[in-house]
Amino acid sequence: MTLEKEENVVRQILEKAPYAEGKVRRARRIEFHIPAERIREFLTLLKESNFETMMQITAVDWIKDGEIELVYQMWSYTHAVHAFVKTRIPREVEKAKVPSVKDIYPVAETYERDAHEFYKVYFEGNEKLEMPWILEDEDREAGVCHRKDFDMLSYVKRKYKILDRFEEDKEDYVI
Amino acid sequence: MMVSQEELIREARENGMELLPLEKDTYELFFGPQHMATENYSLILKLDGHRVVKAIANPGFLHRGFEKLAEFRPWYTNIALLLRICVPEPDVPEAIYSMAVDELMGWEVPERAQWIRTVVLEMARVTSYLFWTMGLSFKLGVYTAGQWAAAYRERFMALFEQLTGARVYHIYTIPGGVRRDIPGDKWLRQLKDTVEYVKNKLPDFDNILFENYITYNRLEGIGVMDKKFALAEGVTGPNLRAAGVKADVRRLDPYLLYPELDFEVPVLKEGDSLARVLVRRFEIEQDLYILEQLLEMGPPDGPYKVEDPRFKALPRFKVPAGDAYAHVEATTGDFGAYVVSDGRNKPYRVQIRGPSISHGIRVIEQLLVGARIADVPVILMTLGNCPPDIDR
Amino acid sequence: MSEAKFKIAPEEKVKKRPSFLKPWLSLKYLFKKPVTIKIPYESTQIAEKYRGFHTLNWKTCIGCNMCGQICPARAIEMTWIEGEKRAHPKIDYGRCTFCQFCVDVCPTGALGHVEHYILTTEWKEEELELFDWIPLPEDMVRKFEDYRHPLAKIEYLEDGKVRYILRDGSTFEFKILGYGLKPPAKPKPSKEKKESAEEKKVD
Repeated sequence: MTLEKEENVVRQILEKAPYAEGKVRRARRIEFHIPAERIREFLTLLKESNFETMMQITAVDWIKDGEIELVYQMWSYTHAVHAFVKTRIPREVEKAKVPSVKDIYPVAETYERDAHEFYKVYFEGNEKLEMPWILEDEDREAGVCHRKDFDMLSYVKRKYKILDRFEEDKEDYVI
Repeated sequence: MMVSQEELIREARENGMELLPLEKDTYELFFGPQHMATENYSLILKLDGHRVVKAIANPGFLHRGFEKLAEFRPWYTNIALLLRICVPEPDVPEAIYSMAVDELMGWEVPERAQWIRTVVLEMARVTSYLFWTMGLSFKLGVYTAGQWAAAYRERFMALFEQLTGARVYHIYTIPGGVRRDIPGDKWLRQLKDTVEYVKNKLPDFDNILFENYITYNRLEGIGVMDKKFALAEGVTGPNLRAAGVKADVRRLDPYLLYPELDFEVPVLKEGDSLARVLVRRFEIEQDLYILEQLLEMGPPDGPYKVEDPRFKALPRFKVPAGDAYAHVEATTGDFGAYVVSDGRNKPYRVQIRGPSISHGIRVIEQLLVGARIADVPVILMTLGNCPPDIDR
Repeated sequence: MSEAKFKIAPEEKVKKRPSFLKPWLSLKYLFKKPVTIKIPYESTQIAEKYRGFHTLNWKTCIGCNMCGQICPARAIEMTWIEGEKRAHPKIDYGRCTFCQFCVDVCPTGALGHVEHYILTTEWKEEELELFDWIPLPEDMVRKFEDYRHPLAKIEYLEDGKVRYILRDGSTFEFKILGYGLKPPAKPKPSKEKKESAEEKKVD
């Protein structure tokens, strides 16, 4: 099976965006890496190249590198190709700020609320970030999040007061 | 003499209190989580008489923290955990997680396992559509059709029990194949009889629900969305097909045995609630036709799971580093999973993208403006909202 | 595999016409037999390999704790019994999800399952003890023809002894020495020798 269609798509986009790197992974999956300042330019370019929907914004916490990786999953109905758009931003809470893309893809408002609540990434320009999303008030004020340095196990034991079969001082639960 | 709102607010602020202004003639209603029509999901509605002026979505009552829990369990154990995300159709999260891990491992799933996985996914689609018919008929008030749908779904539950060992939570599709083999030719004959039986009962559903004058009066012209709105707001699945877009994951991004099967995809132009209901009604017929074709093909011979020496020590099973995305056409929409691994025996990050995260938050807030109170649960049901997808 | 064509259904097949008279045709179901099965009085047939309670072959279990590591709900705890060389798993049905991964992963095939699934109790403390047990060998569990749990009562006697009373009156007794992966420490005989030596010295 040739990968001609995917290579054409990658080539057309890379001609207009020289700051990006792209490659074809397998049939119907392509990948781009872009610097963090150029997110809005690149997504506007993708929207004009017939990538109609954004499926999800995933935040992955790489604690050893000190960075959070944001992966924008884009799907195109005309080309039938799924694109990963990956950027990296610094991990500290004061420095993890990215411009919002909700005027290019309106559905990104919901995905940004999700990434903000669980990974504390701030999206500038999105007013709905202060509205309560999923966590309850007392959990949010205690700082519950899904980052790797938050100790979820001891928080659960303190809150619900059960002595569990999981050991606190062991990071690896496979004995 | 009537005191105006501004004077009251000013007076209160001078005395150290804070008053918030209310819009004229509107009242707030909590369409709360303990309501049978919204399935553990809540909306805050501002109403003027019996018309909705503004709606705010209020999710979060079913949050169990699946994505964090999946990082502490070995790769195989996550099947028993992640399938509890989507209750009406529990085979779909198993299938997408297994497909993503198969891609990371790089092995080839044998053909018999692919045939069995396709049959299980199609049976799950039919049971989910019967469950949806039950929900729609209860919300419209035609209770008879709902009871029939629940009774016919029982026959499929009995077939699942013989194949997988449980009625609802199957825990059957694993990375590398399936867990058990088909229990003999008798099961295949029973499946064929059941498909034949349900196909003959579909005209009865038409008589009472889908060709009923009351249904048309209640559903026509309500909750309209056009093609541009649907594509911009991330709508997927039958809702998108009712708005005029030719989209189906089984044809655009084929997986398992779908390239060899022959079926039709319904597309309508209007985009209102009636179009969404009729698209789903047509798809029940097509799914039964797909099951007939699969049974005629018959299961190919061979192993039902990958032969690998690593299966002897499952808790220490390691997956090479990388990431993968897999998605499947479910009855509610486009279900996807993104799995990241860094080479250990546990996942580094698992994210499940349910289709209701775009239907249930922004789309419902814009579709409900101008609807009556009695239309609110009906619009929710025709969109195919499944709240556990949002909260995970 | 060749790609199939994307076929769109014509609109006349999808749309339907409403009518006043057709709903009256469903009155024929008034004269048919109902399909309800009245469960406590009649019974349905359970499948052969339904995922139910566990059975354990005490001779072939080697105490490797593979079942404990793979359990998604941490329902299995290893128990040291007097007279047995290796530990045996103790299963808590309050946590178990009945996924039977432990049966699949057991390297010697000692852990198995039967299709019995009924276990109901009232909210009394001694009846809730039934949920926590070490599975018995298969012939003891399959003696009963209906689908209920084989035990009637668990008694915890003094000194770590446990007695299982089955539903037909027979008993099964053993003594628990400790829980966990490491064998429990035996009481040291050298301490007594030291004490008697000291006493001799004092004398």
